[in-house]
Amino acid sequence: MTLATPAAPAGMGEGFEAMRRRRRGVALPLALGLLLTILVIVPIGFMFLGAVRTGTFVDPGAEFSWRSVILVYTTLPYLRTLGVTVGASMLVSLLACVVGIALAWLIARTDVPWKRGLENAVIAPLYLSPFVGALAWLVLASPNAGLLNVLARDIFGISGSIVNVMTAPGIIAIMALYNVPYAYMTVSSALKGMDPAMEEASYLNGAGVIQTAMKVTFPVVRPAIISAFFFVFVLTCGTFSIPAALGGTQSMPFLAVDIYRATATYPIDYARAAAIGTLLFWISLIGVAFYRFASQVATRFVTVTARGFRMREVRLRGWRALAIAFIAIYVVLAIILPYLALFYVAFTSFTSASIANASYTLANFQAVVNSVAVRQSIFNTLLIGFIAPTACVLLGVTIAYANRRMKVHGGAFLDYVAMFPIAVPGIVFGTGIFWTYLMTPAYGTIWIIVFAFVASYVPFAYRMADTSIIQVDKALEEASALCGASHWQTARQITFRLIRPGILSAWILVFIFSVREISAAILLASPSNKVLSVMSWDYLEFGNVQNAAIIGLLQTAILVIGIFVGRFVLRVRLSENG
Amino acid sequence: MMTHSNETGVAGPQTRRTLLARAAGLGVALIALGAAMPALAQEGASEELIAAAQAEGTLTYYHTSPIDLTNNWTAAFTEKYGIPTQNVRGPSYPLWERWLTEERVGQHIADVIQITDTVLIEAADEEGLIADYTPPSAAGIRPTMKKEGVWYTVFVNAMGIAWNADQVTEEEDAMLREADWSVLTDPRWAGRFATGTPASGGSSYSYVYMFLGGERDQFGPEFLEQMAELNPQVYESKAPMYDRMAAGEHAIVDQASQSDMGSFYLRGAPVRWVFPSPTPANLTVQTISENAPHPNAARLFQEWATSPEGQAEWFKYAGVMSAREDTVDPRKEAGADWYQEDWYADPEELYLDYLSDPAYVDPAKPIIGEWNAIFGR
Repeated sequence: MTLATPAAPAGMGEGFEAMRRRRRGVALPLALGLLLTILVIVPIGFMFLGAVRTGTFVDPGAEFSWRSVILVYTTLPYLRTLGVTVGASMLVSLLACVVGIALAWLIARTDVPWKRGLENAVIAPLYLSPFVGALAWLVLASPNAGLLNVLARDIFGISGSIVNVMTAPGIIAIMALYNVPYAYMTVSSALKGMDPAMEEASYLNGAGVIQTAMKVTFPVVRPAIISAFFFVFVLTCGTFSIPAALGGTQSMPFLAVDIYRATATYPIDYARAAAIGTLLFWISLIGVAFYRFASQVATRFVTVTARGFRMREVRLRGWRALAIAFIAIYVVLAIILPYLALFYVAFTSFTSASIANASYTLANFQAVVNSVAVRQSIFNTLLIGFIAPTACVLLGVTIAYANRRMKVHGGAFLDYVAMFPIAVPGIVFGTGIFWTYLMTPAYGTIWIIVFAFVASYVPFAYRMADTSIIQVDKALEEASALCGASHWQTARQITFRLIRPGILSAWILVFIFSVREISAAILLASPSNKVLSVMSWDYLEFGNVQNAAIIGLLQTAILVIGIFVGRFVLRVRLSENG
Repeated sequence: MMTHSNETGVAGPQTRRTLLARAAGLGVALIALGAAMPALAQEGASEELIAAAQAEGTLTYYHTSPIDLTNNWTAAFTEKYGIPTQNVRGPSYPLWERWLTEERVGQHIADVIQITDTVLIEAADEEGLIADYTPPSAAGIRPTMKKEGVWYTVFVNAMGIAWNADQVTEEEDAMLREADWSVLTDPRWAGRFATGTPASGGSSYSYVYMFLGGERDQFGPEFLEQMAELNPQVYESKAPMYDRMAAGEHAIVDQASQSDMGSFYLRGAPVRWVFPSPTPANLTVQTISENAPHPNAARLFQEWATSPEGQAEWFKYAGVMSAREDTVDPRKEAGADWYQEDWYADPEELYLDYLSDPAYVDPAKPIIGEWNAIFGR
């Protein structure tokens, strides 16, 4: 393409439209549709098929049967677990959103000090694999041997326990804690993207801080809040590692834990796992529908414009100390205590409830660092941590661009399918991926994990790319077209350049997920594709907790280095779209 | 019932460190545990087999034993023959299911598969998925611990009751040292006791099988109902259960395996354990895949694993019982580590003759359902 491409006809809008029409070919949507079908629909299809078979797809004795589906959809234990799962996930979401919104408002709209540091701290729980976080909390707050409970007994002479994570409220609180960053990020970027002129107008008309927050700010960011709520809800529904680590179904019945049990304990019943998976799929799909609706409303506002704006900060005055205390409590609970617990475990020869009497050692560290298997899995983690987000973001951007700017045929289909994987719990999706690639050369290599991660995380990359593209004022692209730039020149020099921060944020988010992911990776692990998350799970389940903690810390180190490179070398900010 | 012969070998009282140093330094010295054994081991692996295995260059081992111990163990094989191994750890049932699936679709990855449930191996053998191979050294494996040409035991784990000495009173400690199984139904352990589901793997299943299957007349569902009334914390996997017991979260646990308790003991944890009679024991066995991508390396490894040398190598990392008469834990010889503790006693009556019980080999494993019903799972 060159500048000689015919200039846009008379009207700016018409010019752009004409360009779009010419590009509404079929090759691109067909290619994308085919790719998404293989990546997403086939594995989900295997899940549904698996639910109506009595054994695996290659089991000679397996036959068609509705047994598992009927069992899961109509019997009381499962329906009760479904009720608890939905209720608990809503509570988790509510808690995470309340805390996330409060943190986002404090950091984006008020004069709390050290904003950049606080924001880093609020997002930091993302750098810890949730199940390693749950392990840390088990060490801190199990009823008898939890370090906090033992300290309370030793120092204050309290009998019993002051905090117990091996209960339904405990599991809900820990799940909420590790979901706050998602709520924070969504609401924070809506707040930062919002035109402060509206709040300014409210203040000018005499409204106070609370009145303005409730009547102006809150309604404008409400779609973002709803979107965050359902996003966290869907993620929570599919989480098995935290409830499994904190006492499993004895503490709280949870569908994802039932799925794990069906695939990990005898008799292994993939049909039951798949049937529960389909049940979760419908629930999550409802959540995703709300999430999609809300995030579409939330991103309808153009926020990246050629016009600048200035942010007004609310003065907290006397409330400042309280606000800082609130943030500090969150940081202590989400980061400081868990990491202290992990370091404690890592340096002890066995997990002792008494810090004073524990025997400390460097042997675990030496053993882990010198282990060939650990080194291999670090290498695999880095490789997958680079390839998966890159492929995922490329796919996400292509779908978003094809949809929003090229208006390709079948855009709605692509949009739906690209969002599907959010609704499938990783452990079930992993089983689907297993069957999809079992008979291909990708099986047993790192590529099967790459495919699994790309498919699992394409919704995030796509949604973030889509949001970024919507927020780019079309006037900028139209100006480019008017100046005679070709379609691709405009895309390259205007659109992609403006959405670069959003793309990089998506890359970082998928990078974090890829380094931490566990459910699918466990099912797909082979000698040549072991990753750190699988190593830490293996150590927790079949080796020793000390090594699991060390690998959890190694994962954090890799994530922190990755984020550091992203933030300071590529200048990405995870919490903002701009 | 099985006993250990305490023949010659490492003599005199020694510390664990000197023993380990000696073992590590001399390596083959432990073979001397049985006077004729070195010759047998030499004969075991023929030059042709060694050369063919080395030409294949590598070996993939699917196993269920603890990660680091197994890595150390296979490293000794690698050091001896220059054949590196790729070890894949998985929970026994899912790992086995995955291997079956891989074999059925022609994805041949594993060479040797280790598992704690012999019933599954025999089913796979009938499907034609198991290689027929009798390693020469396996002649020394006890007759009850192998099925010639199919599977061979690499070690035996006895399972008893363990407790955290800091979490029990002196009176309770004294009571536990003399305990029979009925101690597990004592109301004093309500809220202080943890157990594992028999659905998690072969060893837990064998343990529960003794109570609900083989020795049902003596124990039976009533016994387990009394245990269930104590509302124990039920674990899906035993390693985390032991860890939480050592930390003091639970005062006592059952299904306490000799190798795991020994490992906690060596790390300084305040754990003690006893083996009430009869003591359920579980065989960790291994077999060769019919379509092993490295068939010679697999055969050489099987030969080494069943040899006195391979068996003795385990003792460096875990206090297990050997599947061979002629190989004994040097700790025991030396009266070292837990063998010097006044609370410790070897199991007197191992419960092991269940392997051919019709109820045990029933692939439906009805005992799991019964156990689930008793424990409200």
